[in-house]
Amino acid sequence: MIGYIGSRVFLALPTLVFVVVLNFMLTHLAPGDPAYALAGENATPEYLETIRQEYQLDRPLMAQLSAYLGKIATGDLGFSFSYRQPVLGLILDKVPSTLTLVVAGLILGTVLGTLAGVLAAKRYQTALDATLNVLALLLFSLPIFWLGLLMILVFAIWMGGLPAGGMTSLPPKQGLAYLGDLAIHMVLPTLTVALHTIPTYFRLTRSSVIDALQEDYVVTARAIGLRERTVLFRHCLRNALLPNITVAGMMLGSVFSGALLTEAIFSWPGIGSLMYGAVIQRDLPLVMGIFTVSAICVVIAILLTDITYSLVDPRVRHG
Amino acid sequence: MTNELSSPAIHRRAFLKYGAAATAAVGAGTWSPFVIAADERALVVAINSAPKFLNPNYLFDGACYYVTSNLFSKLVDYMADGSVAGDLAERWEVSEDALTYTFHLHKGVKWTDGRPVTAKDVVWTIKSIQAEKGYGNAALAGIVDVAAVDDHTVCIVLAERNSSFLAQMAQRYGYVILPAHIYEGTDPRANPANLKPVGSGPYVLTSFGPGDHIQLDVNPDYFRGAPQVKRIFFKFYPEYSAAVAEIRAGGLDLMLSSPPLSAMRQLQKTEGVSVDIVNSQPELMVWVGFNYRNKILADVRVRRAIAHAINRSQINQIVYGGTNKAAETAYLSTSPVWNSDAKQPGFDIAKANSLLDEAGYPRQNGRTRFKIRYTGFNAATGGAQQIGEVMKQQLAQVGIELTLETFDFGVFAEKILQKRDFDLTWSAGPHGPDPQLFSNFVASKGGRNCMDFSNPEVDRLFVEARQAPDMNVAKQKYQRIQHIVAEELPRLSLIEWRMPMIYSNRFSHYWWQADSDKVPNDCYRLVKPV
Repeated sequence: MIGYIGSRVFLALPTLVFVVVLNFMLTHLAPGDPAYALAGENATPEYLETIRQEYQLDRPLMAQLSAYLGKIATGDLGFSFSYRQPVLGLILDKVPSTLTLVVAGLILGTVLGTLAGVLAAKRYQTALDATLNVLALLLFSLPIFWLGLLMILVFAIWMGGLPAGGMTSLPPKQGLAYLGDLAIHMVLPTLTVALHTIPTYFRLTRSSVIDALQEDYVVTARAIGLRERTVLFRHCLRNALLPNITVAGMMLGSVFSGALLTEAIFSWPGIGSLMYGAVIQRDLPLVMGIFTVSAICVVIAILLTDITYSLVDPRVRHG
Repeated sequence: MTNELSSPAIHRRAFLKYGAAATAAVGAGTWSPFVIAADERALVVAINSAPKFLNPNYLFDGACYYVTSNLFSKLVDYMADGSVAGDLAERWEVSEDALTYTFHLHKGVKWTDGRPVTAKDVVWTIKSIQAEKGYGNAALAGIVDVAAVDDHTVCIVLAERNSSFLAQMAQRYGYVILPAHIYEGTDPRANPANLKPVGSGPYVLTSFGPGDHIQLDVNPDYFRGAPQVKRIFFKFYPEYSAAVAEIRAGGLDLMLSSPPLSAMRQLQKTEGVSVDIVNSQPELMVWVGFNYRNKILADVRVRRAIAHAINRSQINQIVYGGTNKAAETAYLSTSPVWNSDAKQPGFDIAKANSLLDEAGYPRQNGRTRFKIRYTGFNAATGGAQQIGEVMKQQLAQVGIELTLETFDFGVFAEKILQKRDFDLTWSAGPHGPDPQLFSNFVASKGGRNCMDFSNPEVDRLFVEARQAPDMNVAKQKYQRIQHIVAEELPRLSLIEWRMPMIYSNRFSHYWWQADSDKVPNDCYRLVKPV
């Protein structure tokens, strides 16, 4: 087992290095002069020159890359051009907000998607199955920013009541009231992230459960007189969930990127809002830092998925 | 085997019953006490993005000013009506040769840490902006000496006469007086006080964390008297939809960004919300510039033909719902040096066609005369794309095909300001109140003169206006400049942009509503709860 984990970690490292180099090249080769974006429209040539020198934007690209890789190797993500603070600190400040949204959205989306998948499989080729399929396809096709705006329009403007933006009411509440307030502010962004996640889990669970329902052990379980609910959830779903574990790691990247867009729409003060400003201002160290941290999170999630899968299904590590 | 009927787990029906009750309870909370309800004394202001730091003297950050104008004092400041007034400076004298300015500071002013504000702070601030070569250094380049005469008197000596000196010191962004005892001997750009400022303004920072808002509380020792609004929250909304929803729900009091016209129309009909269209500060002009490197546009007849073909009133109606003013001149009509006679070519299709024929671009069998590009960027004023769409239709009527491209500012700046890769460029920039600001657009070495327009007379007139003994003399120079620009037309002013101020009716006496000669923009010192 330790050998298996070691080999997975060993394979993850070059992936990370590749992602960091790719991020660097993409951000630096993208059109747009960071000095202008930072200095504003009415900056003087003298001020622009000061910025270029200070942030070493006048150095050759390869020299900047080697310096950046050297820093990354020591855990230093650099210094933000626009905030004038270390990038790592800026990102860590925002991690709790983003994590709250990602975890809540992922849990809600996974549970709802899985339950809907089981329901559709159980009612295979009925009107309910067809309806759920169409709904899933619709949700899958909707861009997340459009979904977010729709949520604001329906639940915050037309129906009213639910807050459309931010994480807290003002003045901020204290103690338990704060938690209640946070929960209310989480409703729309979490639902947006969850709705974005549901179709994947729905489709996966539906097809797995349809297959599992044909298996011999299901016939046996029914034959010995178990209740249908027990057959479905205790025997059938447990086996059908294996592909969901595989997808969970992959989905983290998708949910994370979805959460970043959701944050910008709902003014959620997380990494997404940080990245939105960083991209507009061409704050290259901050953009690269966010990409790198995101990549590390996804690689770790995939690593954990591999390890979990190997525990659930030992054939994987011996294969 | 577990007997499911006797299982202690919650029965499904009970779960649904209690679940519904719990949902209803939370829902009840949602619809009343949990909704943002501004405390009677707390003002909630929406801004586009979170400031990155709270010191505008060395680096530029568009969101910083909205907060710092309430935390710091300046030596002199622009009031909301466009006049320059003393802030920390109670009064000042100018020497006969107009080279020496002596400022007398208010006495008894304190920093929020209790230390007195003295001339030493003013001297240190000016010298530090010069030493750091920061954002505002260009305006201080003419200062050859600054010294404290005593604790409350500062003497500034200029290298040459500058009629815009006070206006430059009063500029909207930067030039706040910082506490020397906090900054001296440190790297001022990295000083922790940039995030936890010690100021001498009407408010003091209470919280500026990684959350979604900034909190300011009243400074009880403010030297002009403590403001009536005791607490201000600045909340960040990168996307306008959430802010619109919040102000309609009563969770916001003021929006410092302009939503699209459709949203603004809805807000105008919302009970408890008002929309005032006001002259923005700094005053903005939306304009298009002609690239002189393009041999077609280098011909003044073509530039004048394009000006004749563009119906600026129609642009104002379609893009801004008629809320702004179609520009007739290079300078804003609100400028104290405005030349109402120096009009740009008016809308006249026949004249446009005739000029284009004369320039050698005939329109045979209704075909296109030539193609040009229109390049814009997504500015706070909005409208770059929509104006392009309208202009495309208007220019098609005289046989000019316009292709549109819009970028974010970083790409735009690279294409336009560095590479000059454009034909017709859209922009929206401050054109006042200081009339000298226009030199940035049309003087040969102006930072925003992307057209590469060069006229020695214009360059000379700007210098003469700056060095003029008084504004009456300077005004003649500025008016002559406007006349030359209207004739040569390196750029065409389209719209005098006005800011839609969207606010709840819970507060009044904002800077554009009352006492606009006593308070600068974005300062809440005089705001009152209704």
